[in-house]
Amino acid sequence: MKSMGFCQIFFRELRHRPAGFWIGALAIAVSVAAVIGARQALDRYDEETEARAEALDEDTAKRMAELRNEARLFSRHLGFDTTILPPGQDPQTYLVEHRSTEFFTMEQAQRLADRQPASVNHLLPVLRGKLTWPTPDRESEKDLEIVIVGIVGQIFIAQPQWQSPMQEEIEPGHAVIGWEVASATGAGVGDVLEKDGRRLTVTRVQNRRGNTDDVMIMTHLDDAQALLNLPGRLSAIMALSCACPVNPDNPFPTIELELARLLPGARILGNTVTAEARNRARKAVADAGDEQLKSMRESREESRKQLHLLARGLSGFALLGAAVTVAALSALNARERRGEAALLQALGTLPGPMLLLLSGRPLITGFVGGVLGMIAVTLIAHLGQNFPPPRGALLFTPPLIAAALAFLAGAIPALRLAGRDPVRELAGE
Amino acid sequence: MEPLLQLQGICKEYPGPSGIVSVLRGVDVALSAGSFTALLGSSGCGKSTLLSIAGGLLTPDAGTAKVNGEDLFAGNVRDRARRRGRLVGFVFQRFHLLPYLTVEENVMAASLGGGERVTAEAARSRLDRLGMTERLHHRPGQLSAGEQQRVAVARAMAHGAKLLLADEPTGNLDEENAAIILDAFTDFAASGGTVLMVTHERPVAARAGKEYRLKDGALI
Repeated sequence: MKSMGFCQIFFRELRHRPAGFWIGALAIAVSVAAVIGARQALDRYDEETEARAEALDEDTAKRMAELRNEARLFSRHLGFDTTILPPGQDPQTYLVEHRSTEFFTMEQAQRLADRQPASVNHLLPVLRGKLTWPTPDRESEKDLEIVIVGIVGQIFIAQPQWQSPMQEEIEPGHAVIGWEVASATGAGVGDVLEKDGRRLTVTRVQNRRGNTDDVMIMTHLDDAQALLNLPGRLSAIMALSCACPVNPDNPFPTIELELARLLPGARILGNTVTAEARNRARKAVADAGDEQLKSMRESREESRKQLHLLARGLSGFALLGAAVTVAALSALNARERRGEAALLQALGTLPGPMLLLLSGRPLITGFVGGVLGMIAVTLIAHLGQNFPPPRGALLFTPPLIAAALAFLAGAIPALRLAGRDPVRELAGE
Repeated sequence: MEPLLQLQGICKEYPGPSGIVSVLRGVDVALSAGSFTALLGSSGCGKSTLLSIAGGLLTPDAGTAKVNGEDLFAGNVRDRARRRGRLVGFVFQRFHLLPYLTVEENVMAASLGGGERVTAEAARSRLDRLGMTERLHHRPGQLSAGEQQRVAVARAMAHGAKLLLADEPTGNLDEENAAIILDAFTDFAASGGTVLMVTHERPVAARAGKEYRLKDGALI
């Protein structure tokens, strides 16, 4: 037949004083539910925020890319910054006299584009030369010295549909004229300028620029070649430098290096001011975009940290409250069980089992509370769908941690009880 | 023949409000197996202290205490607890039953600390001899004081203790219940056990075969 065991004693005592047990278990359950619920809700919040943030980042990055492209396109209005002169062409003659002694052919320009240079883009073959333009109505009766520029439209390095041309095309028999030319000839949009039997209809009059452009007539290459009597000739290829990662403000050494290989002997004239301005405009937009993204991410991270800190604080507070409740209940239980502890000592119960008998209650209280808390969180998660139900290790660790916490909270009263002098208690003093 | 309980030169002091109080001053006791002894004395003279030392619950400042030839205070805490559980049974004035166990289970709990295993059958047999058969499944709270003390006595004897120490066991009882308790002690002694009972009641002490009086920390 069986004799009385410690387990029976333990559970009988638990059943004998259920109020303290259930109050403690409830306190633990509430705190576990609060801690796990907060964690799960935060995880869900983090996931959702991350998803929203990624979408926002993507959207912002897209907008920034559009803005950068806008800036790039806008910066093109600064014009070409690179002039490629044929081998042997003296820059002085070209720049000061607006005259060429050496020429490219269209085939050479096309070949350059076919080789896909990385340092330049938007190749525009031009013929440029000086002409005396008749001005029959002019008071001084002196003909006008003008610079004629013939263009034939851009040669695309990449696929044409990917690039929009920098320079508007001019149809044969049409011209864009500078301010001084318009003033001297009295021509406006729709008027016709005529020289050597070639008629050019003005499509646009450029605003004052204060440079050679004011005395320029821009026309189709065929017209320019005919007027200058230079059929099939090109005096230069205009180009736009690419954003050079080595030195964006001065890309010309890189261009010279590449063109020395692709177009040996060609001479480069570079406009550093334009290149630098373009680069600065692009960089400013890129920096603004990066700054915007960085600022958004930092702000999100800061909010997340504060939320987690708050949750941790509240969780700690909930756990502390539960621990204090269990400790207080354990102290009350210990007070009630002084006689029992003394009797167990008198009966010769060993210190270990006796300590377990006395401190097992908070341990079980914590475990049951932890399990109840997990069940509550799981139910809330399933019913409310506000956060995912706990899974894996998260399902098992809280009851164990709650049990350990409750055990620690109840250990001091149990230890004090076990250490009390039994003689006075048994004598009824 | 070696006495079952042998106390030699037991001294015990307590700190008091006006200095150290010597409660026991070299007390010697030798009780043989099968004896029933009463210990008399005025309140606070040290009777309960001597009883606690005899049961191995309280360590003396000096002297030795042996039960059945075994030194009660030899070894560590575990050794002393085991020895106490095996050799000694206690009966207290306030019963000290576990409130959440039935009468039968309270008696069975006697073997928690050691001694013979107390089965339900053994517990029932012991309770039957004390007239508690009808109350086996009652809780202590449902019993009268006399009944509770009978359960406590049954518990003290159930696990095969050699020495039964009773501290004012009839202090809270009516005459009828006191008589039952004292009869049980007499039976225990008759069966070879040793009883040392603290009391301040002369008629109760008269039931014991031998009397000691404790005065000024010494036995007379």
